[in-house]
This record gives sequence, structure tokens and C-alpha cells, in this order.
Amino acid sequence: MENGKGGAALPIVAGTGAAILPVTGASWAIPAATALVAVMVFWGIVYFVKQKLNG
Amino acid sequence: MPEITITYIRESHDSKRAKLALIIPAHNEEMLIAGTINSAIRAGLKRRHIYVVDDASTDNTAQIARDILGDSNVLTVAHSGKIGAILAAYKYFEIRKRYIWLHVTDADGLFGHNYFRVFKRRISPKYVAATGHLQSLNGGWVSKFRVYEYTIGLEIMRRLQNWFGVITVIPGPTSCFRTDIFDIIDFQSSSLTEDLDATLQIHRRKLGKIGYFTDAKCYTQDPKDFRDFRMQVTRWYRGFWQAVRKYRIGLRPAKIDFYVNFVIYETIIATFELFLLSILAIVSHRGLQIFAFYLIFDVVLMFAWVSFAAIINRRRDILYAFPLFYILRFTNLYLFFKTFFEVMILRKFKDIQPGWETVGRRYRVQTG
Repeated sequence: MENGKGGAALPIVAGTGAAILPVTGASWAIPAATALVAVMVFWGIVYFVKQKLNG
Repeated sequence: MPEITITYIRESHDSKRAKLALIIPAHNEEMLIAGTINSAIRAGLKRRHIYVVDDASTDNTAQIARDILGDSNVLTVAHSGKIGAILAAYKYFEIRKRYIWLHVTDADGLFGHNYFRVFKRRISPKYVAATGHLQSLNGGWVSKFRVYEYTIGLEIMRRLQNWFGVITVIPGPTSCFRTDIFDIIDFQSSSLTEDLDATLQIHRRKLGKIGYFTDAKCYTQDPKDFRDFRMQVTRWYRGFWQAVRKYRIGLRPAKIDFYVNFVIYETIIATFELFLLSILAIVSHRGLQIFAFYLIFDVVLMFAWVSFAAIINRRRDILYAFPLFYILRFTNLYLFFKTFFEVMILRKFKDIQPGWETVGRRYRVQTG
């Protein structure tokens, strides 16, 4: 939503939230984010292929 | 631009004038024009108050309009672009003399079932212009993204804009002007986004208040694919920066300046933060952890917003395309800065006559 119409608050909140979190010892964050990205990419590809097959 | 104050004076012939006319400018819109006209009739506007101006279409647009409205309410003009067509119809049909308000819409829109009944009830001399509540028609993944965007942009931001009197744009599909104000606004201002330009003129020239009627729903067709989305957003942003430059938005102590500054700096801060976190992720392991948190937070928050949009629009289908929204978000962000560079730094698009940006990108939609 970084479109100059208002709504970029979301990434600002996310970024600020992440920056102020005590991350020492949070070793799960990187594998969790990697898994999340993998799921998102897989989900996106499946959606896209299904759309193409449905015309 | 001179600032003038308009005081509505009840004109002696008001009692003879009808309250509201609709002009639909169209160029090669045979696929959708009948739906637009019929939805306006169902929404409470009589046929005799609906006018179509056909801008030299090469398809059956004019004939379809005549079949529904009759010959007297359809005008065909030489190819002159959307604004040229509207102004020609405004003059030809003597709108100023015969009507108190003029509504203009795009030929790809559909009106909600009470749209004009709401407008006729709520437009009053205290407003100089008015707009309804825009929603996205069913379509592909870009349209699903727009449902999410409109939910944030209209359900939340537009209500706040209305509250503070800083509505930044009266969108093309749902734009209504008092005819005395329509005469004053300069619509031939070489803008890529004439609706934004007209709205900012209202603010800059202190013409009066803009009404926002949330219970008047209007549906518009969004780009069918990524290429059209990119073209449309590029045009919008170029028009946005054109207007910012032309009216020096952000440089005066006015509410509209504060609001536009807010949305510009909000985007810049978000981008700077993303850039900073990316650098941190590259240079240190702890930075990578923070970036990972950022990513997780962002996805969770965005999924919550999209779920909210799906619930209030009763559109569960938009959730299915959720991962692809990130492509469009980052495209938006890229185009925001690209067009800033083009318009504000390189000073491009100073004098441009927009044509019909919808040519070749219409598609049939599933309504309901």
C-alpha cells in the first residue's frame, strides 16, 4: 500500500515492531521467515498456474 | 491561481431546473455502456436526465446508447478526448441552464441500486461537489488487490479525509459537481488525472465543501492484468506529482497540504525503513534476525488487513491471491519514486493532453 494515498503505516509498524523486539536468542526468526517466504512463493505459483489453466 | 470564495445564491430559475443530470463520456465502450446506463436507471435516475457523449467511437457505442436513451440524449463528437467530450456535451445539452448538479461517470462503471436516490436526497447547497463510495468489480488478481486497496483507501482513509475536510480526489466514476462550480473549474488543465486536478482546484481556490456519501455505492472495472495495472498506476502517480507541482501542494499552511505531506512522508519513511533493515540484514546476523521479524510481522499484519477486507466486502476470493499482492505493493512503491523522479526532477509531462487510457483494456465482468 505504499501508494501515496495513505496506508504505508503497515510496513512502518512492522519494521518498528521488529526493530524494538529483543531478538537475542530468537534463533527461530530466520528459519520461520524462510519457511514463510517458501510457503508464499509456492502459494503464489499454485494460484497463478490455476488461473492460467482456468483461462 | 486566484483564490475566490463562492457563495451559493439561489438563482431565480432554480425552481425550473432539474436537480441532477448524468453525463457518460464514451469511446469504444460497446462492451459495457449498456450496463452503465441501465444501472443508472435502476439507481433512481430517469432516462431523460442521462446523456451519453460518444467521442467518435468506431464500434456500436452510440447506437447502443440511442437504443436505451433515444436520439435526443446522445451526442457524437469529433475525437477530442474525455474532457473535450464532457465539455461539448455540457454545452450542447445546456446542462448549466437546465440542472443544478451534474454527475459525470466513466462508461465502465456500475451504480449501486440506490446510488442516485441517495445523491438526490443528500446533495445540497452546502456542498460544491460530491462523491460516492467506490468499489471494485469482480475480476482477476489485480482486481482482488484493488478490493484490499479500496478497503484501506476508502473505508478508512477516505472517511478520515472526509472528517478532516481533505478529500484529495473525487474519482472519475463517481464525481458530481454543482453546475455553477463546474463552470469555474478549469478542466482543460493538461493533467493526466483530471479528477485529482479538479479536486485540488476546489481546495486551492477555496470553492467549498466536498460531500462524501458512503451509502451511494459505485463499482468500477480495474486493470485486467499486470501490464494494465502498471500503466494505470504510472498515469495516476504522474498526475499526482503534476498536481503537487502545479498547485504547490505541501508548501502552504492548509489542511490539504498537511494531509498530502503526511501520505508522501509516510511512504518515504516506510521505504527508508525497509532499505535500512535490508542493509542491516546484509551486514550482521542480528540484522538478519530483525529483518526476518520484519518480514513475519509484515505478512501477519497484511494478512489481517486482507482478511478484514474480505470480510467487509464478503469477498473470500481475495484471500486466495494474497501472496501476489506483494508484487503489486512493490510495483506501487517503485512507480511512486520513478514518477517522482520523472515529474519533479526531470520536469517531464508539463503539457500533455490525455486521451482514452481505457482503450483495449476492457473486459467483461461477472457482476453480482
